[in-house]
Amino acid sequence: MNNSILVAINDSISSRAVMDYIAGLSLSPDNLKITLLHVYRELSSSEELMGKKFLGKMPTRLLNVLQNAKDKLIENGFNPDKIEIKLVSASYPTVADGIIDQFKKGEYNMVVIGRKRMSKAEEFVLGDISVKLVRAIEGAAVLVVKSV
Amino acid sequence: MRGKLVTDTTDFCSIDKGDEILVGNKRYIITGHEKESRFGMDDPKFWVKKAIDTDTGEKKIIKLSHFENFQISLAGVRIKCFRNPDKEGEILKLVKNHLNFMQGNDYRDEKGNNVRVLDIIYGMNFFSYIDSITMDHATYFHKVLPGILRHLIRAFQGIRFLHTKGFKHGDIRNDHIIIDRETGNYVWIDFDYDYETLENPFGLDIFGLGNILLYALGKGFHTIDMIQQDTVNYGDLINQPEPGDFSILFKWRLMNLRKIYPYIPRALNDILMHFSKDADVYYEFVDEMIEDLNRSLHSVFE
Repeated sequence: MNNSILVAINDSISSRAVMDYIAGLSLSPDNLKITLLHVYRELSSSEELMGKKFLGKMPTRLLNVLQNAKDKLIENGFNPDKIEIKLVSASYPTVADGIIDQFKKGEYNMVVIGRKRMSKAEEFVLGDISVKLVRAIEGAAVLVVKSV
Repeated sequence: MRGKLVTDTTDFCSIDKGDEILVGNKRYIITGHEKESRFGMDDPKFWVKKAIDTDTGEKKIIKLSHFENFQISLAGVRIKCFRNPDKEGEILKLVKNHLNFMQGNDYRDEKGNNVRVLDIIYGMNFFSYIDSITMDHATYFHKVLPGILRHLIRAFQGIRFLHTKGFKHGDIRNDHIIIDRETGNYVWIDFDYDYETLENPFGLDIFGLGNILLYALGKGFHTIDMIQQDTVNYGDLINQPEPGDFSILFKWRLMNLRKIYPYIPRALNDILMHFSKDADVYYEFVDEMIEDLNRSLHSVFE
């Protein structure tokens, strides 16, 4: 049976924890397709202030993040032909919206996301992508990797 | 003495009583500045002018572009807030003739500054209205609150409408609802604030609605200080509340009103508990809150 996993990452500590976790899993790599995904959120006004130069470098930086993640999986025995990198150029109102949209466009059995430690107040005010995914995603598992 | 004619509103502090602002091919004579009451003192808001339309004699409020940004901290969470005059202008267009929003038009002065000319809503704000009700809570709860909740639901639906169009109110507070003296409608005012909570864009608006509902159900807020000091009204309640009974963001504000008023039905109280420290599930959309409110209203009062 073939399985397909969508792994949403960025350049954060929690995304590194996600890759460590997946790389260490005893999976059957030949039957497994992994999509390493990054989606952009619409820029906030403070991010816009960072300037065009900084923003212009973002795609390259994030492609490197995705490529490094792919390399890590290959080092751990995953089949390179079954790992896809996906940097979506369109931006979404929230990261959760982007992941949900990309999930709907593919056929995935599982979505993997990292989650940093948050207080209840932070979760309440700032929102929690993993909770949104659990609420929104139907017909697939949502795996949340909590970083320490 | 006749004032000056103003076509560039950039330096809004220099625009004073007697001056005339020319915008949208109309002249408005300035009669004063709006004030904000804080801690019993009135702070003038120089970017908000009282004015009269020289064509019609109608009183207006004119809001000029004032860009300020600052950080607030709620329960240790830092949030970037800023004024966004263009957002208020866009919302004014969106809510034209909507009974639950202040009405007006936005224009550009000769330098491109956003100038909003607003109709005045005559009536008490929600904070003062609830504060003015003198009956005991039980009578209020059974006789007055159902009507208030029906109005509040309509006002909350207004916020839902904004959210579906991608806008936040930005500063949802008890005194930003005016109860229109003529129609009785609950009318939202002052939506030029904005904030950045990127993955949860409407979170603070929803928190504001929770506070308004708390204020309505409790006929005021109830804090730990009040409970400690006012033993006549609260009795020995001080021993009963637990940390989870209080607001997730205002740690001294009691959310679990059933601890004071046990006759408040659980369904209504549970809505408030979504905003408490004990909550594990939060409202993500206003729809969810309205649905719970409607269900409670029907089951409790009808």
